[in-house]
Amino acid sequence: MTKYQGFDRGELLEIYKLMFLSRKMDEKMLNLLRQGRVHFHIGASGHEAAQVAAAANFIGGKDWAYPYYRDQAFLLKWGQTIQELFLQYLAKRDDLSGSGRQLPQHFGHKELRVVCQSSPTGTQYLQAVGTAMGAVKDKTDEVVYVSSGEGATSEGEFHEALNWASRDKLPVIFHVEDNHFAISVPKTQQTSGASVYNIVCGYENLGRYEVNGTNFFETHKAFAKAVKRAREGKGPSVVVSDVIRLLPHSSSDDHAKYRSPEELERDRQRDPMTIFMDHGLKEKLFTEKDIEKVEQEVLELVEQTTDWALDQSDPEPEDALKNLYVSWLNPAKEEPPKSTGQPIMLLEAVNHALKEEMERNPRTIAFGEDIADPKGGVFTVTKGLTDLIGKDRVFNSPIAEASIVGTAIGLAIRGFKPVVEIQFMDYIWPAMMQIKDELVTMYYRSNGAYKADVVIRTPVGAYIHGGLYHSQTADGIFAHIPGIRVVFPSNAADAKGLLKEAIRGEDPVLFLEHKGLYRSRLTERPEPDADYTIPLGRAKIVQEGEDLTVVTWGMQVYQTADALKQLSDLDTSVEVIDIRTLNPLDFDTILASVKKTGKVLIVHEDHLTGGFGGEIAARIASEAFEFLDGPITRIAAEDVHHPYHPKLEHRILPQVDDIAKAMKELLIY
Amino acid sequence: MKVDIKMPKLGESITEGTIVKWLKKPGDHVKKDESLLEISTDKVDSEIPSPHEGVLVEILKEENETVEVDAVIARMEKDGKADVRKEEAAEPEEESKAEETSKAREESQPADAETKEEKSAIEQNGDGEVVDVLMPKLGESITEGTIVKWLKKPGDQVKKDESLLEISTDKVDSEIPSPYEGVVVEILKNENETVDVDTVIARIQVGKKAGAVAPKKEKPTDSESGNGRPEKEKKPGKTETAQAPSKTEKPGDGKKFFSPLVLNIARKEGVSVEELEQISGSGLDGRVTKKDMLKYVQNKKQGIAPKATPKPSAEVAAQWKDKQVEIIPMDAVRKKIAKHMQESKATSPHVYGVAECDFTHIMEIVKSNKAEFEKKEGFKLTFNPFILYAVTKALMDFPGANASLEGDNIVQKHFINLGIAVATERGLIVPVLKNAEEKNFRGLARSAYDLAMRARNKQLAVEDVQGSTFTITNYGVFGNIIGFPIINQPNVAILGVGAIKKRPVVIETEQGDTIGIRSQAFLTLSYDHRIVDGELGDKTLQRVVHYLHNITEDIL
Repeated sequence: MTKYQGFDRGELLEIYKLMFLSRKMDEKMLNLLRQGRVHFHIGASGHEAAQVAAAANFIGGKDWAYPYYRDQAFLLKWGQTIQELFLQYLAKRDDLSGSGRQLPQHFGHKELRVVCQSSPTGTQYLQAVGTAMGAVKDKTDEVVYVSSGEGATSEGEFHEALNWASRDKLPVIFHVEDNHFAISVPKTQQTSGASVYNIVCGYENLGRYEVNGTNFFETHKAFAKAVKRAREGKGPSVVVSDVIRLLPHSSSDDHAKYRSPEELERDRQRDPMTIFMDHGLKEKLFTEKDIEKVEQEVLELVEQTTDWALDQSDPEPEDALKNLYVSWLNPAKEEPPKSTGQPIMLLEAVNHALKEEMERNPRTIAFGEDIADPKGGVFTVTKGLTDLIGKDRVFNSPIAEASIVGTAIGLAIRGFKPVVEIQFMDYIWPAMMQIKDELVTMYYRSNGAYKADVVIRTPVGAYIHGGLYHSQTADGIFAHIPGIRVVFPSNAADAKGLLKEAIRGEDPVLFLEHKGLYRSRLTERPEPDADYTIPLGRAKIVQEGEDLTVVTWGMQVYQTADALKQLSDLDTSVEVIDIRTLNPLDFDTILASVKKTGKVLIVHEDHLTGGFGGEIAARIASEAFEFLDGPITRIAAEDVHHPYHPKLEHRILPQVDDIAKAMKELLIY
Repeated sequence: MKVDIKMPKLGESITEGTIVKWLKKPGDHVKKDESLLEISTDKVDSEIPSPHEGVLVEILKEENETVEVDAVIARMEKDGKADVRKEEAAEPEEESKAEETSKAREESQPADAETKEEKSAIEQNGDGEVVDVLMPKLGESITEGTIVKWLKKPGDQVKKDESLLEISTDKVDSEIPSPYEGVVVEILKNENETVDVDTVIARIQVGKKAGAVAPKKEKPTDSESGNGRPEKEKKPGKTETAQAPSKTEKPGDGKKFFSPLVLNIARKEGVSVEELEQISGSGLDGRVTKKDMLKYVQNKKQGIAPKATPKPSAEVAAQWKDKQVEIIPMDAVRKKIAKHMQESKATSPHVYGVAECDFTHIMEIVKSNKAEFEKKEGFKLTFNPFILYAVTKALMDFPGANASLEGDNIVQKHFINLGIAVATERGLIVPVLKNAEEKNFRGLARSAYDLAMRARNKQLAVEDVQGSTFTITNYGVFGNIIGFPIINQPNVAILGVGAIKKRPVVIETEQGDTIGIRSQAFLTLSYDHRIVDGELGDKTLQRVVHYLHNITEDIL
């Protein structure tokens, strides 16, 4: 037989088989749910033709996929087995997506380069852009597939992703599977003009395709063109497939409550599987007997696989605590620098650490707003970095914080080491979704398959009359989040050693640089040599003492030192600990000190309520209760925002006098 | 083999489902994945496919019933040919568990019923509700109180406002009237226990007919040994003589606060709570700090006896074993008096001046106005208000004696709050007559009488015993003529009044000296030489005498 539109009989039957298999898997999975064996399901029924057509144009394992939860048929064609998908659905120990850590239909497969997916709609786009950026930097012809429903395109990150991908002509294909409903919301209530195709028309270099996604051949053609364009470096594409949703949004939804029977019936008339079969029979591409045989095989396969999968081991409860960090704690001891040079300030320390590490590791990439030369960052922290390393590895990002973190994750997935800058802590919040839901969960949710070891540097801190939006510290918020190290150095030597360690490590790190310290003489230390690093999670005893322990970090280390001068006429000795990293926290050093002194004052610049001092206080109360000879006391910023006028700012921040007073009160207690 | 059919969880947040319709009835044969029933949940409605092939044996939950996720809703008999997997082998065990649970439920029902009966019995008793009696808050700053004595025991009838117990707080002792009429059901806090304000200390079953329900737990209240009776009845056992503090000691119960670290050191070093209470602290408000504690322990090890460390009572008892003694533990008030007196002597270098005063004229005024005064005021006229009057006037002339020493500052007060020492059953108490400088003679008399009465009836409020600026003590009532009283801190002077006795006295007149019989008394002024020198002290006392000598009837 001659090929029909490029497919021979065997291939056509295989396509039908995958569509039918995906459909029967949905049905079987829902049965298992109704029998109480699983609690969640989200199906591909109605999307099969578009998905199989899309996947047929990629090379799974060479190309990258960021598939959304409805992409089951896509993955069957991409190369995943029914066994793997059932293990994932049943959250079994051997599930390759994450060993039972994630909801059903949250796909992931490292060998096939299927990046472990999360639940938030739309976070995948920017990561796909990052991975595509990496593919280009490595001079490959890999293409990245990313998909979503039409509803997710309302997320702002969709447009951020299109902007960056188009700007840089990146090889990424955005597949929008438009089934007309985002859960219960019809696309008329979702998208301007109810057309994703129309709203993406203004991006230069962006290919646009709108296809009938229930027609396999039509969709296949569009993808073939889009993928070819991408491989040739001509730029990204959006493919909008018009599909039907035969099942409710998920097992937790009942579409009979918002869709009429007539409408549902109309959808069933457009069943892509039936269309494909009827077309094949009409064109005599295969026979009814062929179909019967394929279907029989699939039914048996589904039954067998279900029984087999149900018998596989569940994860062990203890596994829940594993694989949050690549390294929980670096066991290396802190060694002094081998040699030291001229005194440098904090700003120079960061600059030098970046230069040294970028020269040391060619996979290191730095980007952010304004960081490229000639400006070299709004604080000139990255000055000279582009000139030294090159535009390919040090460059400006759009003013879009989610883009910075999202693409960085995609780059890390592709094997790069991104060290990105958020211009001010005050502006990190657009990236919070990428940080909280993606960056910090990637390693955990994939049970160690994928790591997102991005270092985020950001200036923090007040005392510079920066007003509400150039003053935030917010370290407490991030210390609360599992999966990201939080580093907050107070002097130049620490900053250099800790930043180099962060960059060499394999976990996400938030590296906080106090603006008030960048150019402060107080931070000056002789510059440690290029090999000097400090393991994260080692507090530093700034000054030893017997009567009171002060636990602090960042700018407050110097405020505490000033406050101590007010106590010089008292016959007391105070121990000062600079924790340097909030996560991991070196609690052993704090504990040993409190056991010695019996009294503790915690000083930090973040707000009092929910600040990290509360956590330290609670642990001391719990683990050193019988060693306490006074109330655990905290000094922190007032629970209000940072007002601009110096008098107002002064009032709300911890001051030297406040610290001195608290120390005195504790000492005489 | 019989297997359970359970209500499935049809969504993450779903906890229950309603059975809409059974599509099979008992006896029907069902295929695997064939629909068994329809259910409806908050989120979705769904047909439930059978997990097995077999015969539906039993339907346990009817249509329209809403049942929790995982509840067994039916049982089916699986066909022999059906596949047998591991988990099914475990099912008989589950089944028997389910049976056990249902048995347990049956067993627990009668008990429930009993409780209900008991409850309704109470309810039928009209107002037979059992209510809590709380430790009252006897003053703004009061956070706890010590139970001195229970005046009722479990089972006793008590009327509303009848005294239930006596309590002692920082400064005031008081009888606590019952807030309800009823029967004391339970006493929860023993005598000598110190408890926080609002702690439940007893329970009363309310109502005139109360008593139908027997008192619940008759907790031993220690009333036999702790009720002020001699300790001798308690035979000290060997364990009690051990040096280490016993485990039942609760350091937190005392008035003093000890940090966890101090208590930890005390436990490790075998320092008893009694010892702890005696260590003088260098911390805030005399708190015992880690350093004090370490110093104490070190001194103890080196054999330096700490000052005035009282021996633990068990040790005292052992020492006096078989001797004719009575060992009386100090109560809270006694301890406090002891402490205050000791502190005052340690704080103020006392100087004493004694003056003679002729009360004959005052006695005559009292005598001639007695009947009229009592009729009008409701209490007897004594010479006391005359002293208060004279002292107030003298202190207005010499505010240096109406002062206190705070740090390096002398605080002279332009208001005069007279502390008046009153002897009560359980010791000395000093109610304070406030703003004496604003009162006339009758005002002073009334205030003094009111305070004395309330002191004896244990009705003083905390405010009534705070803030004295000068104190007067009258030991003359016992017949003694001269005394040397201890200053009531933070006052700097105290006036002692001896007994008024008739004595032959030389009277100088213009016509020449004669000997007459006069009612004479000795007044002593103890004053704090830190800030009151002899001149001021002696002049102040002489001024008191002067005003007493020159009082006329018209002040009445």
